[in-house]
Amino acid sequence: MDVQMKRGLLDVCVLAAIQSEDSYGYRIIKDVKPYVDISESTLYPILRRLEEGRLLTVRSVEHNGRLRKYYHITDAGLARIGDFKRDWGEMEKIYRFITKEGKQ
Amino acid sequence: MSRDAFIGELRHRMAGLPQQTVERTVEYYSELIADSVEDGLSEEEAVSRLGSLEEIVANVVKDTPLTRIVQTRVREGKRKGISGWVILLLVLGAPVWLPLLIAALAVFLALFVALWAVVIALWAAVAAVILTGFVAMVAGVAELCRLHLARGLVLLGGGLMCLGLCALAFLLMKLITAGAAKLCKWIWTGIKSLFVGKSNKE
Repeated sequence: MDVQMKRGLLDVCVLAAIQSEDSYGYRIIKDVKPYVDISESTLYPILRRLEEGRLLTVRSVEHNGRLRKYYHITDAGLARIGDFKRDWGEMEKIYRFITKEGKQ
Repeated sequence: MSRDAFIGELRHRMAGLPQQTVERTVEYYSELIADSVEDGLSEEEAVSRLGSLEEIVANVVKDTPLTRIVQTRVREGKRKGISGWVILLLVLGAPVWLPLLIAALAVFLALFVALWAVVIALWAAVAAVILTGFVAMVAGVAELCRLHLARGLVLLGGGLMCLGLCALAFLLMKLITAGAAKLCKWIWTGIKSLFVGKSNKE
């Protein structure tokens, strides 16, 4: 898949993984992996980017005597998912156009 | 590799990056290892799943601006205390190393400009051939209208060949441009890496 396209998709996938409830690194990877190829070292810059863009916030929670970082989606993050869904409708239209052209 | 060995090596390779970046990265990866172990993996398995250290560090370097890296380097030097002699040598040696540094930067800049000049020149050549193709075709039609059949057909055919070649050249140029951009990015990351990960080995 195109690198730029995958990058944008991964951002939305990570946001989707924390959409319903806050999550942490290990679980995000586990949740997203079945759908998109994501590794530990690719998630890291994504989380940083999303945090810098204020699409999510981070808080540390005590867990088994150590700290675990939980990621919480912000309104801007939810809006990004909304944008993606809207874009997808347009993409589908374009896809139908492309495949229809291909048949002729 | 055990968790401690991995974290140690990670710190070692990130030496020279801003302290905050190092801590955040170490926290992130130790948390992942701890969570993997809690999920039933052995420590070794958990570490090996993180991928190669080179890749991890290269990703972090890519995300850190060069200015921050140099800043950290300079600050580190201050904290460790550069001796008076070194400062004296730096000052006295300035007539030597300053021109060398400027020359090195100029060479880099020149190479960069030269690379893109070639790319731009090639694009210009493609554009010129496209223009030639159109002009030849228009001229060809004009000649045909004047009933100069042979001349008209040659011009028309030549014009079509030019346009056809350009369609191929255009695809090739896209590849070349993308390649040049990738090369520049790669060199930039390489330059940044020069500042990272050495201080422990020195």
